[in-house]
Amino acid sequence: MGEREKEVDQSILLFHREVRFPRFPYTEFQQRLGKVKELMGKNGIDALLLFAPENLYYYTGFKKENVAMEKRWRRGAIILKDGDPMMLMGNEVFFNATLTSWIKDIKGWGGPPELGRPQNFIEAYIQLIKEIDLHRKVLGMEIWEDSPAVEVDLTYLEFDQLRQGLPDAKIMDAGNLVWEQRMVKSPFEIGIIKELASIVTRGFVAGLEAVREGVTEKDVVRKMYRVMIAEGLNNEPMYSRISLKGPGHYHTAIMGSHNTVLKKGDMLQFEGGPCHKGYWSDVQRNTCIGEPPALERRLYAMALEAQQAAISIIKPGVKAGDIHRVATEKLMSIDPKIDTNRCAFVGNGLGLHTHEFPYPVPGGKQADIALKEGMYLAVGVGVFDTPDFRVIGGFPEDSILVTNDGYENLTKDIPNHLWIG
Amino acid sequence: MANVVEENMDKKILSFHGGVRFPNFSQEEFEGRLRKSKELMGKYGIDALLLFAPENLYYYTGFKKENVAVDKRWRRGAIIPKDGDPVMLMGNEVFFNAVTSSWVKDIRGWVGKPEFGRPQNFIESFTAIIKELDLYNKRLGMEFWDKVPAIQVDLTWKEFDDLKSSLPEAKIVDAGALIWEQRMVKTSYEIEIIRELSSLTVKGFKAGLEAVREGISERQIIDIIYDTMISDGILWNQPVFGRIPIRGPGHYHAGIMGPQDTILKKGDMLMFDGGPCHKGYWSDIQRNACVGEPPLLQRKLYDAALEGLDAALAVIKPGIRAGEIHQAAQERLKKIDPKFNIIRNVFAGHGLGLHTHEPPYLDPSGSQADIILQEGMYLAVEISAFDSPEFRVIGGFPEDTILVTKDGYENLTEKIPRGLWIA
Repeated sequence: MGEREKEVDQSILLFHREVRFPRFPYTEFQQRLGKVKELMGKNGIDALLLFAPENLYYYTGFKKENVAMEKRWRRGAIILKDGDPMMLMGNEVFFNATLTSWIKDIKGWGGPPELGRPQNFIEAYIQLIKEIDLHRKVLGMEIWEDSPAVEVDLTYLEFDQLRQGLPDAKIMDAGNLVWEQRMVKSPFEIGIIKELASIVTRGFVAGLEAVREGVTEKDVVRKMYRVMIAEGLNNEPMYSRISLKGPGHYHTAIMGSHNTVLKKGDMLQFEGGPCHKGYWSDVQRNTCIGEPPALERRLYAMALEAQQAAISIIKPGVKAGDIHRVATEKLMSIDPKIDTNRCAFVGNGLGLHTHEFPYPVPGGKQADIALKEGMYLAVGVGVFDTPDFRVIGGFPEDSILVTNDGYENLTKDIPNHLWIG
Repeated sequence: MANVVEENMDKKILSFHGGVRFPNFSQEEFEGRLRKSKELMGKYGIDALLLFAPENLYYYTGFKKENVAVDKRWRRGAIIPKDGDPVMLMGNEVFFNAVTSSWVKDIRGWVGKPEFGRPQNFIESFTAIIKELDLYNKRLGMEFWDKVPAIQVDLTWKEFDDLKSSLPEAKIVDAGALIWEQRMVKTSYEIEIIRELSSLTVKGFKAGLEAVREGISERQIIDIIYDTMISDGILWNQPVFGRIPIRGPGHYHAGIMGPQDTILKKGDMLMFDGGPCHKGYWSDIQRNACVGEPPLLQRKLYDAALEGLDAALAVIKPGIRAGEIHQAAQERLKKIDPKFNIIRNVFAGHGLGLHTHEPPYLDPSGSQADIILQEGMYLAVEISAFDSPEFRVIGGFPEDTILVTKDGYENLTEKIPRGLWIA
């Protein structure tokens, strides 16, 4: 580190001394740090090396405010089991970090040559690990071997360089540790999630009310966006897909809305949800233009009954897999011929990602996760006219918060009957 | 690989769909892109591309990722052989989307109902296709992004490791340079989308500038920008908007932050930065605004930056090196005041497209600076003059997007008032 750099970085830090734009309070930061250190102890990990934007946001308060995966803006954190966390930030994001993160030890790399800072991120990061004597320790990384994966802003090649630059370290997957912590939301996170739920409710209600003959799928989505923006959903870099799957492609999962003009007899699926302060929503509803065929009514009613049954058992201690089992049993009791394999997936955890732990799946390790107060889940059950797809079927989905003795359906004010537009 | 049940089921689905009913671009466009990639594979000595990055799949196959999750159950990839037809392997949930939106004929599924008899492990079945196509001992290009700008690839490091170790006889090389060589020159179809995007961006930014006044908050201005662009048609499913941060009072040097709830008052200065996404293509614009009459220093810095930007734009035409754009701006700023130094800014802009930052980078030196401009390149040119290191004022940092034309350039965003905006 050059003298000039020290001087400039010191003057920046002095200028910024206060964390003037924190994303969460200092007590929240301390609680998250305390918990992660406890989990590192339990998992035998000496430090976490973090590069995924949402992990940096969660553990340091620094939030990625752009969509580029820019090598010049590389940033990472080192969270030590014993000792204070530190961050290494590219020049362009250094200022943001000093203003928003409670971490005191924030180092810069890159930038104008006269700053004398290191110019190679991976080398500087390895150097930092050596300086704090972690290069022979157990280091947890975002490998996501047997847990849901999230994007990490580090290429495979950079990961490989890091691994090779630390030959004496034992590099382990930190995926399960990170999810164990992040899947239980703090009261601060729950506050944001409730704000989000209220915005989403207004947006979806406006969307349902906009469904009628003569409008396009995109008109409906546009209406939803405008209502949600007016309700305060304006500090995110982007909104999620809120797709409608309309006429003629009833079985095309995960497609966006089209310019198709809706006409009598068309059926739609609303799916998705926006993001608020980093937290995602995920809701589904079905609608028809005009009176739907009896088959559609029957499939939607079945799906809703099974979804309500699945939601009704939610409380701390219940296993994630039980949610799936109850939904399946309910469907079988209504119609033993029902194609329950379609019901491969009845939901997912939500948070800083649209899909995260816990997954209410039928079997395996994920099914064994016991629900805890503070978990935030999307629960949806689909019943389709497989394989003919003559109608859109039913696939209602709600966002649920696990409370101390049960659950709260955060999206219950969005009408959940088959909506007729 | 397919058993009878799978074949029947997938055939039924394919016949039911009766063709590519929701293509994201025409078959002709698809074939042109494919032809070009094969030509480049010849040039780079690559036998096949293995693609997993969402934007590469969109560009080369027409399949567009419509969700934000990196869900392992939805893993998808494409194999583009130099000789032969491309093949896609799609997770069950995205298989239907691919068959209705991609012109690739050989689309295979993995996972889904057990009775489909489909493979249940993505990497294993991807490897099996590579073997079936006799590519297992060939030179395979992957998305490593060595020495070129990186983009996100929906594959974990562990999956990369697994794929590499299951292809021990293949020579796996970086395809980054090949992909950017193709993608940085936009086709006429892409340019059409970029023009639509630019016109929507101009409306949104104008509305944002006009909204700046004492008593409004940064976030309210963003609302107005978003609302204007939505009503005019920015609505591609995901992601819809780019960051359009405003960096306002009291943090004039806080790079890349979003808008705050701060209420604007006389004397405040703002920076507009970012742009929306339309049909997958990004915009990236900057303007500065002041509430009330700004200090002289602020006027001087903005005017210098704008003069630097105009000098940079003036040299743009096919045949020049990307680095010459930086150089032109640097020389002009030094002439205005020898203390101005855009090395602070490191680059003078960058390419745009399916990413907000992509080649060519308008760097002062290095491999990106040596890229020769070609007709069809789409660039953001941004020149700064800051009051560094004191940052008493916000400084100037105007940015326009331009298209390199046959004999010069076209400024796509010049209709957003270019002077220092005073409200």
